[in-house]
Amino acid sequence: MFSNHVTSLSSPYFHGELTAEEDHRVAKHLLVCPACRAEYEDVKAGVRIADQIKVTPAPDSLWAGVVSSLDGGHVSRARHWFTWPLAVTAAVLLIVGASLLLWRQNVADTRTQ
Amino acid sequence: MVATREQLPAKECMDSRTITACQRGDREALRRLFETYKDRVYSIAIYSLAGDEMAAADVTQQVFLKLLTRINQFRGDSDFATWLYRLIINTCHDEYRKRRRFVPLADPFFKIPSRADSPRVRYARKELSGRVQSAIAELKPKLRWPILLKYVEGMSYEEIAVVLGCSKGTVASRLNRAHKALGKKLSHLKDQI
Repeated sequence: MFSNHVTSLSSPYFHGELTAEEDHRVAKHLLVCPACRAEYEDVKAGVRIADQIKVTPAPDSLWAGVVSSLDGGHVSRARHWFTWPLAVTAAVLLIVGASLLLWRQNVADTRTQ
Repeated sequence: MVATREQLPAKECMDSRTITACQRGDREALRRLFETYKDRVYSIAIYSLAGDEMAAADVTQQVFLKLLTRINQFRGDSDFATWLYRLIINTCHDEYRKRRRFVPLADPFFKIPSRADSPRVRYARKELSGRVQSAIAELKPKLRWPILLKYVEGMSYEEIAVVLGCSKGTVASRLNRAHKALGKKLSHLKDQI
């Protein structure tokens, strides 16, 4: 009875992938073999974990990147999304800095007149 | 809203007319192909890369570029989904090998939470989701791919065997080992499931 342990069949048994005969054999064996039953419980715990896997919606922007590359344009790599905000920030700081310098120059010119 | 595995399998949505149209360069057909598979490709990528959304988006884009530029090579001698999933696995595996020496930059807990739950529930869900992603990414590739094909795409053992080029018994053995590894890694979270 114990010479045909069923530990390797735990996952397919759980997923209903066995033939009717194999399914029956595993079910009968699990009733009388504590080692195989413990192994089956370990597999069931893993199945519960794996059942948490969800299909995650892809970002809407991906198609634009694919089309851009297909049309032979600049390869829009999704991971470089941060360069655009950085460039805008740098431009704004440059403009503000230049304006301050001009204003200070104007004030200095007014005082000397 | 997160899609569920119960929706119609992608392989049943991709008919031969659409594939032929894609091979002719029909942009509408290419868009339909993309929309059919994008969420599944992205999901496999994100679980392979421990929740790194930027890397997963990058890999997804690479997969579709390869798919759309190589679609003329598909001769119909195998199921289209089989051909596609081999492409996905190879691309994800290449990215995984490139990145495995580096500390992942993405925080697996950084997810947009659902507004319907209390803060405590949302945090618990975020933690569990992040832990599951990390645990799956830590599996050896030959154990990870059967898990992702089973739980993202809902493939049978037979279908997984065809994609991976191995026997059904090998798929069963690898899923057994993967399930036990996941259960052991996350045994401390069993009360949250």
